[in-house]
Amino acid sequence: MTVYGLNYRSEARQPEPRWRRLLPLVRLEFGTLFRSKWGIVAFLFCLISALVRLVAMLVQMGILDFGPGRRGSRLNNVSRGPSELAQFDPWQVDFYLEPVLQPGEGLVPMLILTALVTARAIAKDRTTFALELYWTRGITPGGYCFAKWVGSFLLVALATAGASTVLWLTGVFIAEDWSFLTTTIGFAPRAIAALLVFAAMLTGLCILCSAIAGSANLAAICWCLLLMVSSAVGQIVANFAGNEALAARCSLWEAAAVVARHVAGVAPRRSDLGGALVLLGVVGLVLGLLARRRLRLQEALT
Amino acid sequence: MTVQLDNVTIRYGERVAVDGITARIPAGAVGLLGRNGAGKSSILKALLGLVRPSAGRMAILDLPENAAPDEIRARVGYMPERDGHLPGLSGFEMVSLLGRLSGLRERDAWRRAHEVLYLVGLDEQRYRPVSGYSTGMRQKVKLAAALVHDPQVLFLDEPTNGLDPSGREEMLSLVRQLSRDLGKSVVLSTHILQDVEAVCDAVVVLERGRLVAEGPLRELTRTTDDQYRLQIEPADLQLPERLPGLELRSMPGGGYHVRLVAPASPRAVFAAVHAAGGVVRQLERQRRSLEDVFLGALASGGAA
Repeated sequence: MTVYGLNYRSEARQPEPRWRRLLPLVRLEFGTLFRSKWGIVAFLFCLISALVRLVAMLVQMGILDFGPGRRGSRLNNVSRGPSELAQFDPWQVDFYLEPVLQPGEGLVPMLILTALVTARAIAKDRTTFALELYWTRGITPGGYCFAKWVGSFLLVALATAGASTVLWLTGVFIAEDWSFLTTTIGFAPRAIAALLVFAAMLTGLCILCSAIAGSANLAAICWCLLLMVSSAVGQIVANFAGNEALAARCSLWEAAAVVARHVAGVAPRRSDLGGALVLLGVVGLVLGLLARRRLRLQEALT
Repeated sequence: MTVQLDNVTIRYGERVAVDGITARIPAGAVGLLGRNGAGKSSILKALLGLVRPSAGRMAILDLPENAAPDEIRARVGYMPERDGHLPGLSGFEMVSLLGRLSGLRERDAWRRAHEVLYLVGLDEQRYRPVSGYSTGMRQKVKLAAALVHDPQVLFLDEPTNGLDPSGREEMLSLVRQLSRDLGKSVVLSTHILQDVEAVCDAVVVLERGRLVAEGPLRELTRTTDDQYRLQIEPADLQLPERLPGLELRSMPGGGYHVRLVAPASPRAVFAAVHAAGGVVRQLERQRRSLEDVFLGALASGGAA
């Protein structure tokens, strides 16, 4: 029936499957940062490390040449194997992995992204009473939280694993021959997978903080404190005991990094994977139970 | 029948919000009336599957009792009482997103969002962020969101909350239009009697989680056979409070409220006024207002 005179008409249609209903929420969450110019600036800031590595790659592959001499590849001048400059050597796994996993380089971008997007995802909806609007639709609270997590995970993954993927593919296509591909194919995909796992773990914990907190700012502050304080405690304990592996038992960041390095297959022999998993599991469980309580329909809607 | 409640009890921990209510809510516009905390919102939330009743059975439209919540929500539109909005989104984005979450495809959701925003009168402002809307506009955008998936039934929880008189009239006129012109069943939950009188055909009155009155508004407010309004000449003539077959109560604006005690007839009124030395200027049957019904039901605590 068309009732254009009243500017209204009935809608006869087959409803979309449940999983497809979550896609707009994922897209909304993924695009949160890009809806404002300051958000775009923040995202670009988080890509600075990748841009520096891109320049390093272009220099090493002879695309950028700042000095005298022939234009061409300088590959032969770069020593292979572990070195302090491994993070700037596209032939080594550290080039793709360590700038994200090292707290010195990776912590600030990760904090910016998670505090601006993930930590606010559910908390801001609670503040604006949007939960009631969402949950009276054809989605479940569990589906809602999952979609929020996927959206923010994709954003963080874009800045971490996505940037490393772009760097690797750039290297493959600008290299003089296929030797770059044959050399890096053994570790680059695993390194990218490790970064995805790393982003998934941290955004997962962060989204639980968001589900617990009463406001978006509180969620962001709590998450930053949790990550930084645990990192500081981990560092102090490790230094005090003279055992670097202990950091993974106290620091969420280190624990996630240890798991990621194991996924990438580059973990040092003395790293404590079990301790890292226990820490992440316990923190995740505690936050999960609290979040479950806070997201009970009765509590969230009254 | 839009909604059927059989002995429904809803508890929040120890607190009983709804206490064994049995009611039939017919199609059309129905007012769910009660003071704050009477259990109106709890019933709506239970019907939407957000709160599980601790006892009793509920049925909505022709859906089975054990229908999944999203099956119910596909056919019900809900406008919450609280001033909720989706942060950072424009009116159009908010309504179309909520349409998609209700199961509409993207193109359908866009089209429907434009249509319902036009219907509620937000066509000019639909691309502005909702956070910058006035209270009236926010109420309208919530109504549009409740309508976007074309539900058969609308649950409107305090739709005139915070509106100025013109905004309130506009909102009530929209609700009337939805019910009378578009054939939607509307359940209007409110504590404002005038809103129910203006829009609804039937009413369900709740008090402290219990049902105290229900029925068509016309029947509840029908004229009474034993109660009259009396105007006499001279106006300052004093009549005794009790006369054979009559109970009289002077009214603030002048005149008397008369109740006939069976088997007295209206003739007794004429005789009494004549005996007091006056004449009857006007004697009319009294129509009960919804306020009388409401207060009477609250006072008696039983069916009106």
